Amino acid sequence: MNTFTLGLVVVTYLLVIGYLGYRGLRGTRNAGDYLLGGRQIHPFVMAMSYGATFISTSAIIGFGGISGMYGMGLIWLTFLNIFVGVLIAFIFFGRITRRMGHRLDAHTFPEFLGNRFQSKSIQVLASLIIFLAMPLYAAVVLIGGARFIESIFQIDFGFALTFFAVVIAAYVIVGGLKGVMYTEALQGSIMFVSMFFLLVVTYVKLGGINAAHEALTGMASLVPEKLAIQGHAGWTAFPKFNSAWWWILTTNIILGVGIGVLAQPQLVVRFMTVKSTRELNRAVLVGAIFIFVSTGFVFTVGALSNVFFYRESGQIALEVAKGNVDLIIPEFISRAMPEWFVYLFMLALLSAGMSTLSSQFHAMGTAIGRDFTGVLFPRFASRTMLITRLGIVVAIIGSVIIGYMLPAGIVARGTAIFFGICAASFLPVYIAAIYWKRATRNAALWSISSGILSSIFALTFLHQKESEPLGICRMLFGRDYLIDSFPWMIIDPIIIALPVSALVLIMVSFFTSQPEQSHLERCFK
Amino acid sequence: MNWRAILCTEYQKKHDKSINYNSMIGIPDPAIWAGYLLAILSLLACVVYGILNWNKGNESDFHDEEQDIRWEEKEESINDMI
Repeated sequence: MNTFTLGLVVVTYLLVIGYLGYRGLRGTRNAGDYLLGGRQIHPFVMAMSYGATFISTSAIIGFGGISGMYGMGLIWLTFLNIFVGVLIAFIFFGRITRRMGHRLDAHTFPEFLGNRFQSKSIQVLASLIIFLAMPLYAAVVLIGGARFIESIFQIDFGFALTFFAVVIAAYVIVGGLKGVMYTEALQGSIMFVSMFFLLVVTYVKLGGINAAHEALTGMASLVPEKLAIQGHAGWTAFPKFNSAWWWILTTNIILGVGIGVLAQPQLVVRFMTVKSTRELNRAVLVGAIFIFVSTGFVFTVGALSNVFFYRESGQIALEVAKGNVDLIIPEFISRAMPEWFVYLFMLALLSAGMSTLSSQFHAMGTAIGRDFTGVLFPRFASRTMLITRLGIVVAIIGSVIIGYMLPAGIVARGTAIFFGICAASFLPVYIAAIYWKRATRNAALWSISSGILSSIFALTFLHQKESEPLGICRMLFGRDYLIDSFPWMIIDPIIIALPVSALVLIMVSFFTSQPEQSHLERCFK
Repeated sequence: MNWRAILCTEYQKKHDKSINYNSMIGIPDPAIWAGYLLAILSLLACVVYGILNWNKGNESDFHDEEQDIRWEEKEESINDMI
């Protein structure tokens, strides 16, 4: 690959993004224009714009790589992403969240929960969880892009991470947080075309759909012995029931992310900022197609990469990537795709990173500036702008540092940890906020607290993947995890923390005083 | 080189059974193609919902455009702050 050509392509892309952003902002004179303009936007522009916000580099590089290791079982995540993340989220959560959010004058997720339950403590606690946990997610999104650059140009990972972070930070700081629809539409179009091309070329190279799948099925005998013992039954088969790999795939990869998507702070904010319910209805169609094409296609390609690598080098994908699953998709694109596509894919990853990270940094900045400092230290209200900007800078630097520190093959797991924390901390309370009038302020506060605490407990003392490297459990109890009977050491913390949080919410609600009727009428009118 | 034949023979040796080529698009495990099927059915449900409701809901949820605009103005001021 030619570094100069890449630089030229990236600079041209950024200039086009900058121009579209300038055009979008210049055409907006006031909030009324913005609102009405948003409602008159061309459906294609809107479609691609929504699509861009759905997919991150984590889904493409991280989970695509996981499918290279686990196989096509990842398609269940695509199913949950569409069924839960689009169908249920937009139809049953979107409209009511928008209406309630506008009535309560909420502009962030912590503010939404705080205003709904009339509790500043809830707003502060939620903002702290977001500000402290989200950098992990932002870091793995950065790593996703950096691994691609590292693999394609054979350069040091640290340099690749810095390059990707600088480009993204420049975009975010210059004005990307506003999420201008035309820039997002371009980003969405690049991502959509790239994923489509990736799948088509993969099938063509492997001799067609049936031939490719049959070849992959035939490779079951090539599963390394140590993986087969743990339940890996081949790349076109689900892991053996109740095996270690079955629990990891279902709870760590599929359920954690598939359910956790409902309680993503950025998604809830997105519900409130759409211009009308019509946009939510349209987003159901567009989002589903986009998620199917992006995640469904890349998960299939990830699994099929094994056939390509085996034909090319006699190795399976995991061996080619030297055990780092995050390198499977980059290695496949580098070896199997034409050179011009590598540049296009680079732009697709930049697009995926920009659209996701801008909303993440927005969430972290407002969490610390508006929800934390604004509530706890109202005397600093005049400095909210400065604190918010500082919060964003700290979040960006923190994410890059975490990106340097995290081990290889972390992208999918890091995403799942963040989604799990969000689900355990926020999901029961969020559902209760929009559907259960009996839920009380104290119950919501206890539920969020128990969700985050039980998540931290499970990550530190129960889930081997985190408890072992953290070392706290070993330091205190002399072993890597507290419960050594199968499968407790491998099931995802969400399986423990989410029920705890939901139970606490229900039980405490019945033992504490009901919210005022007038407030409920305002919320649910 | 017939890769399909080589790989399939290896699979048969290991699992002592032949690949069912009548299986769904070359995938023998129902748990996998069921996942694909459910993903496609969910996609179709979203497409149908989107088409049926494409032009619905354009009016303000509150029948109060002013409230929407007030909210937008505040949102803009927050974004400007950043």
